[in-house]
Parts: sequence; C-alpha cells; structure tokens
Amino acid sequence: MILSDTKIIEELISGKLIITPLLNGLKQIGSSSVDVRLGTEFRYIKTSKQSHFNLDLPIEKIKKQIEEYSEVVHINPMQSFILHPGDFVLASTLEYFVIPKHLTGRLEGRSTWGRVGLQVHSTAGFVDPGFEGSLTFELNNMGKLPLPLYPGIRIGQLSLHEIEEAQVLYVDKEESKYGRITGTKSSMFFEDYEFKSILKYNNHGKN
Amino acid sequence: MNNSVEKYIIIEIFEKLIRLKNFMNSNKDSIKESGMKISLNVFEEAFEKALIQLELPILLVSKEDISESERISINRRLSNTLNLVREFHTLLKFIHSEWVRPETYTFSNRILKNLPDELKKTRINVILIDDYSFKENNLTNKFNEIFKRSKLSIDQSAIEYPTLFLPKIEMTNPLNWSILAHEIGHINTIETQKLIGESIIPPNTTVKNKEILLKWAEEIFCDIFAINILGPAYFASFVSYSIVTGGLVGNNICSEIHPSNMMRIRFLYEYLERNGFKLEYTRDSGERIDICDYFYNLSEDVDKINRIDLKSPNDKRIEIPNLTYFLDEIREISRKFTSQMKFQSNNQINELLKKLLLGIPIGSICEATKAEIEVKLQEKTKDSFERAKKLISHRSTTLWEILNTGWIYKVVHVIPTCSKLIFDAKHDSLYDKLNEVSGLFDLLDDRLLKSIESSEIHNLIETN
Repeated sequence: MILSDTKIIEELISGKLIITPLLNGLKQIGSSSVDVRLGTEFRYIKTSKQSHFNLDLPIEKIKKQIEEYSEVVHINPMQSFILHPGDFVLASTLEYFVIPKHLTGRLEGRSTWGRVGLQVHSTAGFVDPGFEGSLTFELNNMGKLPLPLYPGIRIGQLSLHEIEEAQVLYVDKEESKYGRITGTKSSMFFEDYEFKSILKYNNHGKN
Repeated sequence: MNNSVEKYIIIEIFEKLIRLKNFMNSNKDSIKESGMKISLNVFEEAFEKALIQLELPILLVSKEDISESERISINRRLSNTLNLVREFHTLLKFIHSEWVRPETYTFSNRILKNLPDELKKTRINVILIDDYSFKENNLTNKFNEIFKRSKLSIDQSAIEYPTLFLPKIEMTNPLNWSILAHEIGHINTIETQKLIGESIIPPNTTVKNKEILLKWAEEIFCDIFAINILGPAYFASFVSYSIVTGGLVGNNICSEIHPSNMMRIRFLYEYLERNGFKLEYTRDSGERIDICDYFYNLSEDVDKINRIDLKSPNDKRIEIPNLTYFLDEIREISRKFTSQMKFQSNNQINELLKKLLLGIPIGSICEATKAEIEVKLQEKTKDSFERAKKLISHRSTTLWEILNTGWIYKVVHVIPTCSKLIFDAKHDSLYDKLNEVSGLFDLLDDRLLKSIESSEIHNLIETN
C-alpha cells in the first residue's frame, strides 16, 4: 500500500520515519509522496586520464581508480550547477532519511523537471527498509539545453510503501555500502561478493 | 587524580594528528601530480614518529595510579608532542592545498550578520594558513603598506577586504570555526573603539603598557562578541585551542597583542556565569555535565600541571601592574554592553542532541509537539490538514544551536568513546586506534558541515 499524505504525517510524528530538513510540509507533502530537494554536492565523471576501467588490479587499486573516475564539486547556497545536455552526475538529496522497517521507498522525478529533460535516476530508485542517509540522484540531462540546478530545489519525490516488517534492515546488511552518508559516494561494485569471487578466480588463475 | 587531564590531552593530540593525516590524504593526488611525492613520504614518516611518542603516555595513563615522576614524564612528552603538532602544521606550507570549503563561507557570512548594518555586507575572504593559528588581517591594508613603502605614486585602494586565516587542519572542523567569530569581531573596530576608552587604563600606566592594554581590551571584546553569538561553544573552542597552542606551558604567557589565555578563560567563564549561559546535559546515570564547567575545570587542571622541564613555545614575559583595575573596568563596560543583548536559549539543544546521537544532521528541527499535530489531523477539514502540514515543517537551526549541540556531543559521546578506544583496547595497535577514533571525528565533522549548509539553504529559500 502506498502511503497517503495523512499516513506520511502519522509516520513522521511517530518518529519512526525521519525526513530532515523538512523545509515546507505544505509544499512538500503531496497526496501520496514527499518532494525531495537537491543537496549541495555533485560528483561528475572525469574521463581525461582513463581509457577504461582496468579491473585486472588488486581491490585497493580498483577502489582508487573508481575514486579518480569522478570529482566532487560543492555548490554554494543560491548558486547553480549547470548540467549540460547528455551529462551524467551523481548528486544527493538535501534531506537525510531514516526509513523504518515496515516501509520502503521509491524515488521518482517531478513532472516539472521531467518536462525539461531532467532524469533523477537511471536505475536505482528503490529505497530499502532500514535505509539511513541521503538518497542519491543519478542525474541525466536528456534535453537539448543546459539546466541550472540549485541546491534546495525540489527535483524528485519519494513515495512510501507499507510492507510487512523486514527482518534485516539495510544499514545492518553485511553488503550495505551506501548507508549513513550525507553526500555522494562513488560506486563500490568491487565490494559485491560475486565481483570478489571473479577477482579471486582471475588472480588465482594467473598465479 | 584520575588522569582525566592527561587523557583529554592525548585525545586532543590524536584528533590533531588525524586532521593532519586527513589533510595530507585529501591532497594526495595533487601532491603526486606536482611531483611532490617525496614531501608526502617525509610527512608520513614524521607522522609515524609523532604517533609513537604517545605509546608510553597511553600505557601509563591507562593505569589507575601513576607516580608523580611518571606524571612529570607524561606531561613532558605530551607537551613536546603538542609542540610537534604545531611545528608539523607549519610544514604544511610544502603541501599543495585546497581552497576552503564552501561551508566556511556560509558560516562566516552568518556571523557577519551580527555586525552593525554598515558592516553586514562586508565581503570577507577565508584562506587556509600554515601556522596553527586563527587570524584576521586586512589585505587591502597590507597592499597599501607595500605601496606606501614603494617610491611609486599609486592611488591606494579604499576597498576594505578583510581576510580570515584558518589553520589547514581545521578546514573541516566547524566546532573550532567558532574562533573565526572572534576574528570577525576584529572587523568591527568602530564599535569596539567606542567601548574602549582611556577609562580602562590604570593610573600611572606607562605609554607602552597603555598601548598593550588597549590591544588586550580589543581581544577581550572580540571574545565577548563571539560568546554573545555562539555562547558556550566559543568558550569550549577557545579552551581546546589554547591547550594546543599553549603546549601545556603557554597558557599563562601573554604577548603585546594578546592577554594570556588563562586570563581570557577566567574572564570569559565569569562572563558566561554572570549572564546565565549554561549548557547542561544529564547522562542516563543522572550525572549532570555543564560544558562551561567542564572546559573551565580542564583549563584550570592544565594550569596546575607540574611544569618541570617543560619548554614553552613563547617565553617572552610581559609584566603589567594593576591588572585588576583593568579587568574590573572591562567587566563594567561589558555589563552595559551585554544588558542590551538578547541571548539565544538552549531549549531545543537536547532534542538536537538526540538526533545527532543517531547520526542525523541537525540543520533543522520540528517545534510542534506530536499532540498538536494529531489534533489537527483528527479535525479532518482541509484547513486543519494544511495546518498539520505546516506544523510538521521544520524551522532551520541557528549556528548557536548547531555548534553547542556539537560540543555537547563531543564531550558526552566522542571523548568518552575515544577514551575507551585509546586506553582500554590494549591489544590494538596505535594505527588501529587512530583509524577508529578518526571515524568518530569524521562523522561529527560531516554532520555539522551538512547542518550548517542545509540550515542556510532552508533560511534562504523559506525567507526570500
């Protein structure tokens, strides 16, 4: 069941669901979702030094390579980050969330921004029960004109779905990699168990 | 004695070493690119040597009872290590540096709003400095002085461009940015000069000493300016900063510009008490901690340390007779000055602390109670529902709230956890301890930076 506006408020006052800062409940709480705002940190991809991901390296070096693949820019309040057509950047919500174990979330774009070509996520819009932290936007400008993006603008919305209580919360999962962060974080695919197996197999094969 | 002072100082040194290491790491790529890899290696080697200095003090301090000679030996080593930290900081000039974080400007601009109207729109510059010191300087004056000395005839710039200097390793530490508030106080010279007159000078004071006392008075009024804006958070930062800069021996040493740290600490503590500034926290055990008392007692305990063999970073002593007269006059002026001020309350700090203890940023707070919102929800009309939505909205928090909550969090959570990690986990290596302690400071820095920025965005969007 998708939570209605009344249910969202009830969850908020119970203290189980936390969305902070909630700048303006009147404007942000819709009939079945909460608008979410853009934060100040943007992680853009810089490819000038890398021809490809070299995965034939020890994990520490892969990690470094991933870090070097992107660069973080902080935008001051009331200043804009320009997202050019075709560009892809990671950003985060201004809000910090605590999702209780009986709820899941889905991050979606807002029609207002969708109409000018802004996509807020390309694949990962699902929020697990027990997630804590800022949500990550995978921003893509699908339009033809550069978009000025200001911290604090409402570019997305989160709908909340009631589920039976989950046994294992996101932050307690052994594999959770993006919990309790407030900005953007590069991909940590090298922490996935199957990737570790592949790496181990390949290195072992070579030795 | 329960070794609490020594433990605090060891944690303080750990914190500074972590910040030095983080600063180096954040610049690693640029160092390699600019061919300065060797300087980084030298730094890492020196860093390791500094860390090893702490092994013996940690071992001794972890014991229940330590002899007087052991205590002297611990203090000597801690004092030397503090000196080492400051000297290392100076060497950061060889490391390529980032610009300050945008949050530093947000912070400084919010402090500026407390200046008189004509100064509110002053554009300030914040730059990172190699010395471990906070300063304010007017770059325009600097350039004008150079032009004056030159034989060229050039119109001197009339644009005021004050610059704040922030030690590199405090780049991400908003708790210690409180000291920037004191430095911003120096921009307000017109106001300060109005307060400081000849009346503060004791009779029969020499011309030289008079000049010194006027400078000291300005320093004390900048302290008061910072305290009035940030309350106990400024006091806590100042005590913590004075322990690092004083190196256990320098807190009683004054210069021609600054009164001794201990004189300032005692004056400020009394000022806090007189104006009812309290920042209390009650532990689950019922024990009450007041942050002002905590830091005041800490500084007095440091002052009582046996100083045999301790080397001072600055041993030039200045003797000024009749200081009591001077301080009484300053106290009197500050009374008049403060009587017109409205101070912020600490009402919401416990609520904010609960959030921060859960790792949640504290840039906003919901002030309505659960019952108030429930009533509106139950009324089931369009108007009452809209009212409920308004009530559930947050208000942005002030710098006062963010920093004071941050300081309580540091005292009731970070310091005790660090203490356990450093002194109880006997089998872990110093590096393991350092990494675990580092996580605590990183989290606190991150949440405070986020809070400062999001509360500013909140203010700007909702009030414009």
